[in-house]
Amino acid sequence: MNGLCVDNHAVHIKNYGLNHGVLLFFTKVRFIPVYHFGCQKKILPIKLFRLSLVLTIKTVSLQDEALFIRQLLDPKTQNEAFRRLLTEYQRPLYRHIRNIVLDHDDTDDVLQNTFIKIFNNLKHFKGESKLFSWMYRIATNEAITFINQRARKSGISNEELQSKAVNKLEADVNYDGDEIQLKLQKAVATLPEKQQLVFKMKYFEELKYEDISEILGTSVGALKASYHHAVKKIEEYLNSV
Amino acid sequence: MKKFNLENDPKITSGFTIPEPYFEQMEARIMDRLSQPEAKVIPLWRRSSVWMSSIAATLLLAGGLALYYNNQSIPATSLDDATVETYLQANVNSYDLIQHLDENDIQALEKSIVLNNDAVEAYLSDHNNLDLYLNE
Repeated sequence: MNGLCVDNHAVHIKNYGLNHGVLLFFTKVRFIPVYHFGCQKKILPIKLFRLSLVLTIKTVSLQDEALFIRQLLDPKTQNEAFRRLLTEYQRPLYRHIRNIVLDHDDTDDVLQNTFIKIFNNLKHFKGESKLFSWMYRIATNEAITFINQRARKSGISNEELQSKAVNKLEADVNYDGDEIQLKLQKAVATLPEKQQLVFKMKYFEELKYEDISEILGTSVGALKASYHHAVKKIEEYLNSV
Repeated sequence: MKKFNLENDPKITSGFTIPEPYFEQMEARIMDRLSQPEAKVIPLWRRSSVWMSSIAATLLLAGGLALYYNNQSIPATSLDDATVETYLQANVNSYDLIQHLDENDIQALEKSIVLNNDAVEAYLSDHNNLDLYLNE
């Protein structure tokens, strides 16, 4: 019977495929005929094995995250740890912010402010959520605050501001979307603010509902409902124009 | 025309592009910004501390008391007529008094002072400096 041998040698693998840049620490695996778990040799059904592997990954992941946070807080290791954090999260956080504010230069401003805020508030991070969720929450709040402030300064509503931003996309040097992509952006801009956010995080960023729930503080059920309503409205828009 | 079905159709990406060296420069810019001391924002109007409030309250009280005592007038009943008369006789001469009297004051005085002719003749005979009372 095939199984997997799990030993204690941790290998750092970056998982860009999940689009949220979460560091997953896998234990090194080898295929052998007999299944090992820890120090005990056992032959287990594959389902139980998968569960044990997931639990092992999660446990290791949480432990490594705790270690990473300690490194971020320790003045001796802070700079090096923060550079690693920047390397890992700048792309996913950029994408997240860009999806909200649309313009590259605005995204640059918000992203910088986000990282500064992350750095200054690390000491307040209690570990009640994943580090990634906490950072995404800061990025989301900074992006929304940016939009609110700009709308207020311009004396227009957030909806009008977003509509203007979408209409500027075609002439934007940092946008090369085709007709369908532009139409989708315009369709999304017609949605209520929260629904837009949920749609963007699910459709464009492909985040899991559980992660979106942690970031936005909304239940998974409410998110699923919001997303499906958003999809329906967008399809109506795309099919009507 | 084929209807859109977002769930089943191939993914439509956002269409955003990023300038080439952006992420290479981002790390350096953030670390540079973090290494600079944050400019401390000192608000023009501080929230009043207990100390500032105490000083302000003390000054207000002192100013109020000063105004109160300055504006306080001496009640008329505290001084009797005899005292006022004695003061005026000692400190104010007849010439100064006359300068401050106008026609109305003189008429009022004449009405208030009751003099018969006999009293006037008696006064004039006692005082020989009639010249003072004769107009030139």
